[in-house]
Amino acid sequence: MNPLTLDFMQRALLAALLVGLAAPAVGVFLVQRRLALMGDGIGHIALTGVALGFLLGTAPVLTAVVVAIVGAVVVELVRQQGRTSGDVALALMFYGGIAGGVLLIGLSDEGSGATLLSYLFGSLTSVSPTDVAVISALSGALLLTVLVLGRELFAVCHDEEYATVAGLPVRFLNLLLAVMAAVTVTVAMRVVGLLLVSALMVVPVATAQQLVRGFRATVLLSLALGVVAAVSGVLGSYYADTAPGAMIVVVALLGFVLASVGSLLVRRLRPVGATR
Amino acid sequence: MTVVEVRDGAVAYDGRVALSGVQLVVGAGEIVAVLGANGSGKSTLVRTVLGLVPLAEGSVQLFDTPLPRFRDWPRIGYVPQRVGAATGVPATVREVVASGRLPRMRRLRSASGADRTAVDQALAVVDLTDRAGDSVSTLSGGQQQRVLIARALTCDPDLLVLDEPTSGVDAASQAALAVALGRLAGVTIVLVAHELGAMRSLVTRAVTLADGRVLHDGPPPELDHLHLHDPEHAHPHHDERQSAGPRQVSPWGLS
Repeated sequence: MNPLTLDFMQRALLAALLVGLAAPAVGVFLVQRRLALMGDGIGHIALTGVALGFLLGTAPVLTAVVVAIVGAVVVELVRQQGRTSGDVALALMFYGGIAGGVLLIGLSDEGSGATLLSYLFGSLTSVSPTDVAVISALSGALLLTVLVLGRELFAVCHDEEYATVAGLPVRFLNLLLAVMAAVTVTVAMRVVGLLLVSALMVVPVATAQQLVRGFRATVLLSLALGVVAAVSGVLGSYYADTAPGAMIVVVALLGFVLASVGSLLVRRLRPVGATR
Repeated sequence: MTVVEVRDGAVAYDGRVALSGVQLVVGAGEIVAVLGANGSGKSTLVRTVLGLVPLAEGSVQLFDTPLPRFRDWPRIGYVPQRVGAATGVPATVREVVASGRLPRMRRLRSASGADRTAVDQALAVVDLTDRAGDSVSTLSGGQQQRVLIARALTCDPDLLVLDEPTSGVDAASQAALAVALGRLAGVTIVLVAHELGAMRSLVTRAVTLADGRVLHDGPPPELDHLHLHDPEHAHPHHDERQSAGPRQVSPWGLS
């Protein structure tokens, strides 16, 4: 059967397209700041938000957004204070988020092991029309923010001290990036799943930088790679009947391996002295 | 006009005194080298002037405005230590240099012709026009340093502050750096250095720090450190933090 004629697949594919654009667009700044695992930590903490939604009987997406944003802002503030190193703060989020999520889902009536799995690794059938609307609005906002404030975010992530002396609102931009990462995680969780969302933020960026030289080129290529991985992963998981998150990440990683081998071969084959 | 003024400056990190009782006045057009051994407080001093390190006591003025009220950041070009030149995602020379123009650009506007011209000119001053499209990480240490200088120049600053621009840079690149800085007519320059090296011909005044205090303030020394011809220091790529430990001898011990 042609999956494109199925309502739930149309929704899943549209969501995948948007997530494939938004995740690398935000992820590139996290990678630039060497905070590639930030999305992972936020994903873990968002699980507590999802479980809280089940427990309170509200939409899990809403509670997940709120909890993820609070978590991301707290980690950023801790990092700015310099009290705890960034990786310890992330570790606390990892453990607290997962433990809180599993604990709260156990306490709620609706949540089951299967629901938990669909949030952890994504699920094709779970993308409701409301989800598509929420995902469209939020990923649109994320892409617009990157478009408008991309130069400022680049400057801060590239060299925070320089940006401070240049008079940029460094604290605000750092907090904004944390909030954007949290929103990205919640936007992507229905399709990719909370445990794998970070991969879609990081892997297309890592692949792109094997192939191109500049920041702008890396951003554009990683958006394209993100869309290819997300859409083909969703289609592949339909035929293979697996969790879409796993398929998306496997496709993205495959792209990374191909790009690495390809760029290695190009460098080997290029005559000595041709590189400047 | 006074460009930089530090009065009774004192700084402490976690209770350890890094600067104390520092007086420094830099006038327009001066080219001042802040010299000293590692741990002498020379980097802390310029970072304090820029507001990156909080003062424990005393006051700082930039262009006759107290630092807490100073907002005219485009007048200042800052060249930090080179650690930040290459980051997690590759960026081209032009992209990094163009990010320096942000303070002069209108927020939310795309780059104007004047912005692009400023970037072109800054690249030309440091002789990196032909490398504009290359990834910064493929450049040598000295070239990366020049990228950061070009970034600071895009704002057309009145004060240029350079933190250890010559550390880890070979002699030929140091000379190229000095040439680039020599082209900046009328710009006040404060540069931190372990030793003057190729900057000697440029510098109009030297301030030497030791243990967080100003040891000497006057014309630049005729000769550099005793170990100027020390083979260990003939290799500028050598990590100075390792080699400089026991050498905290003032260049003024000779005279």
